[in-house]
Amino acid sequence: MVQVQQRVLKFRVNAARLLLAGALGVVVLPHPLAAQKFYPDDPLWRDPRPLPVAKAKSRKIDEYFDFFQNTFFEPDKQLKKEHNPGPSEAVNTLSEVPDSAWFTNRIGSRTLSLAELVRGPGESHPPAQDQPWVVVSAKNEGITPGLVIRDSAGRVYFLKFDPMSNPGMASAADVLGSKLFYDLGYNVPENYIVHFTRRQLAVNQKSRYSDPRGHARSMTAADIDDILRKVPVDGDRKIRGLASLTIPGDILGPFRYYGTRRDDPNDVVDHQKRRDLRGLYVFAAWLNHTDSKSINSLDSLIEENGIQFVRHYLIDFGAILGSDSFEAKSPRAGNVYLFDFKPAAWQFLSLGLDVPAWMRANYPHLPEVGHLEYKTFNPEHWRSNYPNPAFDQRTPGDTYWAAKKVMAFSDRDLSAIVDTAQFTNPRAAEWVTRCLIERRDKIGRAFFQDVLPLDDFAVRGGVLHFDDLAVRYHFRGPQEHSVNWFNFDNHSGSKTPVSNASGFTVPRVAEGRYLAAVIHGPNPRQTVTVYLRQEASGEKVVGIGRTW
Amino acid sequence: MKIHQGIMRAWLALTLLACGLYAQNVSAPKSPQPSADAADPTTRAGEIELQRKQKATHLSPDTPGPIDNALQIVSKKRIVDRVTNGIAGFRLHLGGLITGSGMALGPEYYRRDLAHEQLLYRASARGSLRKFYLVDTEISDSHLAGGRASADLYAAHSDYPNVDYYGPSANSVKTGRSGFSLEQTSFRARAAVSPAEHFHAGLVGSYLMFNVGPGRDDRFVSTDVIYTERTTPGIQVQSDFGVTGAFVQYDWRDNPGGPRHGGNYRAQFARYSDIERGLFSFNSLDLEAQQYIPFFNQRRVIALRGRLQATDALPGQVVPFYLQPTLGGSDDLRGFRSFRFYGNDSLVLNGEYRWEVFSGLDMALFMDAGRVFPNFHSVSVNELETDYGFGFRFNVRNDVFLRIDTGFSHEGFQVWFKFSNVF
Repeated sequence: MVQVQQRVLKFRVNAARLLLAGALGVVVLPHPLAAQKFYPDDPLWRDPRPLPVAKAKSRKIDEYFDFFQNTFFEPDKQLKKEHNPGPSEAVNTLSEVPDSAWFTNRIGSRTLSLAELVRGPGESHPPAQDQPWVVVSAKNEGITPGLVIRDSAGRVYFLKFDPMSNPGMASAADVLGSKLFYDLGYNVPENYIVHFTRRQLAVNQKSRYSDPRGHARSMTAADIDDILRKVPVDGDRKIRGLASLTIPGDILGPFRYYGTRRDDPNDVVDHQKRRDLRGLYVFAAWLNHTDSKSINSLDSLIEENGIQFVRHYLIDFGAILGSDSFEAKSPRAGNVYLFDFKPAAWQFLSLGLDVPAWMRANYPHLPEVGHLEYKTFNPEHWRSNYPNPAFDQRTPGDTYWAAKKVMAFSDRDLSAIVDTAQFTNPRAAEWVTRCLIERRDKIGRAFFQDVLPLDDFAVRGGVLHFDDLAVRYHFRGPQEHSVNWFNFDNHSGSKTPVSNASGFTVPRVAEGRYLAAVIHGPNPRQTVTVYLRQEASGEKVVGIGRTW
Repeated sequence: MKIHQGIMRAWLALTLLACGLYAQNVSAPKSPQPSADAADPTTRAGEIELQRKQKATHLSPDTPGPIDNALQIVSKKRIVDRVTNGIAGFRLHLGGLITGSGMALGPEYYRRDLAHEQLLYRASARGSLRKFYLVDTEISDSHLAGGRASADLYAAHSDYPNVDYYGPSANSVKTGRSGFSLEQTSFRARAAVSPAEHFHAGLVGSYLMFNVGPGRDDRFVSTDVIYTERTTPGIQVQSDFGVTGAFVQYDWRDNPGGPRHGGNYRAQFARYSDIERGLFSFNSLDLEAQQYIPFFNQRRVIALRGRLQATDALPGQVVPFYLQPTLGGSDDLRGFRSFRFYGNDSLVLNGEYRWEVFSGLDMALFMDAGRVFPNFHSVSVNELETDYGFGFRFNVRNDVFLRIDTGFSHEGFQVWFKFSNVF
């Protein structure tokens, strides 16, 4: 017990040191040589124009390599053990993530209409059904088959199907995943639920087929019949599928959750340090995206505004929520890794007499949903299928950032988005919505208590205003906050107390000078430091730092 | 098949990683650090651009590491697929002979892509270091009548130089171990229908030819030396059999490769007609019930099985010992040696408590009870041989691919390595 306490204490001390440094220095985009804490253009809300990428080579990541490496030889595992992950990067001086090739601020950063939320990455390019889709290629390997089709408009889609045991499940998950991850800020493909008959599919001389043994050859109409025998068909002989519009540009393969791409000059922050990837843990936990691994990501070399650069995508959401793509999710998914030494050893030694809470979870019988619930969901102990370096290096700052975005979805938003999954059973839609709401609230409760959850700082009428998110979302009642004001030297980083400061009234300073307001709550370890710059138009919030 | 491929790829990946991961820099390139002589930017955007420009001066192809690359080549060249599925239909087949044969392998021609994947054809020749041999061929179609009917033809010839025999009845002793050689040729046709979900019924017809000879393992006495035709019918003279039978089955297991809930109930009746000598004709009844009781979200399972095998010789006939039910071994009484008990009838009851250790491994505590009987009237649950033990069940997606069971009985303990589930 003493040892545990010492470890906890060590973690807290390390974290406090780290965050104190972050708060005082303001964790910003990497700036080892920066001579000043704030630049005139801070806070930066958009990454600068990317450098042109002349060429980048497509490469793959072997899924078994990825599993074994991250399970047994996880990069920076020592940092994880020491609970010392280092500050998050790819953030602006407000600790927010600027728009970039990775992430675009949407919900929680600006007001999105319900229509925008429901639209997600797009809804104007579903596969045209005026003429048969030409099957470009097909695979009949594995558990669920898949096709690549081209519609009459020349657009190419991946066409995926639900498992026989759970009609509607994987396609619903995939379409919800694309919308929710898009709304949260990530680049995702446009996914559409389609209903069609056998006649909608046609082959031509160029159609290629990979048979159950992996042998490739020209495709025949009979091959389509073989594939469709493995997919559910409804009473009207219609097939439900998920058509995923191909991502534009030259596909370069998945990104890793650590390190950077060697051939991308714009990729200058180690991925495991990126807030948008560390915080992805929270989104993955919320949506039970246990398959959030490198293989389910994609880099693409695209051209915009005359510049060719690499954009980073999340793909393949068929294994989120209660779906595991080819079957309902195992109850252990999201609770323990596929291989997790300590829980495995404990199960081994206890003869199975140790029964964790997730084993007692109750799942309603809803084949369209699979196994999804919220009562045993613990956002702080959620697990993907195997370790993810970025997830494992998350800090309370990352989880707070992400939890804010999750909490920004209203019940009405979620209900409307869930409706796009086109569940045939109303109970399925109700259950998924309820799970998303309950899991959302658990996330807010969990991660808002790790920091002082004050946000939306602004100076109005000479007073520093802010919102307590824990109060806004009714997780607790209001609490007292105190503030200490400092003059902040932007070049040396030193702070000197302001005399005669009164409460949250902003002391007056000369234009171009900085103030730091250190706000305390009941927990002395949790502070928020708000940096203000006096500008001609008034005080501007330019930096936020937190300790926990 | 996919399971085997997955296992092989996983094994390959782990081996390569274990051998070489520390030899390489496992981390991808770190983010570049600005050099000391870099000019200070005056804006945040300028600072980022400076870093990018510095990285742009030393870009390199983002190639995978050597291990990752090797595994990708394995995948691209379909090496595992070629080993498991074979090249032009030819592949290596491991195991599949009777217990005690030792490690067996041999070539197999395997096609499951015929007639638009409706027809399966295979033929193999396997042998073991202990000189057990089997050649067999099979063709089957499980998609008849829209998947509601199936049919298959099977032919095999085997030559086993030494099969254990401990004497007749439940009173045989462990020290009575002997061996006989068994040569068998069989032809079988089977047709089945599935008129309702989970329900199967079918007819079976076989022609069997046997030849029993002295055991060829020098470590054990030959069966014909210490047992007579009276105690062990068929030890001196063998015959050919025509077999006709029928079966019904109700199988609602969730996953036959590693069931966690459901049940499987099967009854098969067969008449063995001695065509050559008219000495060994009998009827056979095989009843089996399996039940899987899950709890804690199927992470715990109580698995139960009962099996009764009964034979009834026609008037003036006897059941040859090489067609008698047996008990002992990896699939029934796991604390006893293989073929430990021979009798005209047998009853075995198995109970297992299985629990999940991690997603690829279940463990089990088990207890077996069983006995052979001289006739159906003597079948009872009294005085059953019992054993108990524990086991490891390695699986991929709940399909067991390796089972290691250790059984303990009053005759000692047995360790079993099997590439299939017990039930």
